[in-house]
Amino acid sequence: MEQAMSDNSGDQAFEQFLHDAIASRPEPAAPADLARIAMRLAAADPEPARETLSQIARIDRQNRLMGFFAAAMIAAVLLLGCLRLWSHGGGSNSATDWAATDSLQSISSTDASESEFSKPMVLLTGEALLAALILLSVGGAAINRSGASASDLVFH
Amino acid sequence: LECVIEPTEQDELPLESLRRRDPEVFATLVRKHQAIVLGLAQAQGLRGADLDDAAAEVFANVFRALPRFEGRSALTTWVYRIASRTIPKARARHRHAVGVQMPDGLADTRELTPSVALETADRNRRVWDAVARLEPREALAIEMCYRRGWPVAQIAEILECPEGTVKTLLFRARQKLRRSLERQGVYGAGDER
Repeated sequence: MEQAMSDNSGDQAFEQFLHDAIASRPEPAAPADLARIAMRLAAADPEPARETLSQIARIDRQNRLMGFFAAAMIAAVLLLGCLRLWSHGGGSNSATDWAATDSLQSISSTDASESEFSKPMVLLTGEALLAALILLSVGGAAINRSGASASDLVFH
Repeated sequence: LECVIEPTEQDELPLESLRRRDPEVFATLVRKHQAIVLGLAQAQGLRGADLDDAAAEVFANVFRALPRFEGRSALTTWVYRIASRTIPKARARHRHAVGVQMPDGLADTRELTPSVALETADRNRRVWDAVARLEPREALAIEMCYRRGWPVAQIAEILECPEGTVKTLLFRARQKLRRSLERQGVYGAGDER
């Protein structure tokens, strides 16, 4: 308790010290005719066009890069799904092979013909969902980045 | 120490003339706000020509944005918001030149003996220097709170963040300043009154 009180009084002393030191700083002298200088500066470069364009280009590059990664991920997931379909649906049709090759599939079905069709479909759907989620999150991040950068360009 | 709540100066400049970028009205706006804008730039460690350039850049951005000013926030808040976005960019460009310039007029130390006055002036200069070395938003928050005495709510509006973030910025800045000043021997146990 005493320690806390001592810390608190120490903080207050520091606050006062800081306040006194910062408040004692003299105001800088303003340049003569600052308004005219600012107007001339604004007229010389009506909108910070170069900066704006370079920011937009950067956002565009980021979005394209993210889009590329998202597309690559989806392609990889779909390819994997197709390979599984091929190996389980086309190659080996036995339900035991299916269970042995895919550890995620622990469901043992007695109906082999049903599992041949439905399990790969379930897998593929799950993968497509996963890909969609990845796409959404990557797209969301890209939109957020664009939004944040774009807001820098506008003074409300 | 609580930030002193002072009524902010209400803007009485005609909105339509501002939007039309009337040079006279703009000049009045600049005169009203230049001291605080320069103070914000000074707190970031800008000096000399860099300080003037940063202020000119802030008001050039204000001038450019005037037609889009919708009056949703007070003009004062809007101007300082632009300043708080523009000045850190100017600081980043002039990073090499950041430092504290001993102002022409030192802090008022007339009532102190020469040696104490010198010591106080040196101590104050070190505090300003430590503030200039903070992160841009921390330095802005410190300037607005300790020099201008603005309430946290107003600072939050200018820095476009929640009040809790301003409190965190101030807390973190105080910690950094205290550590830095204690390390330099500018502030220590003897100063705790």
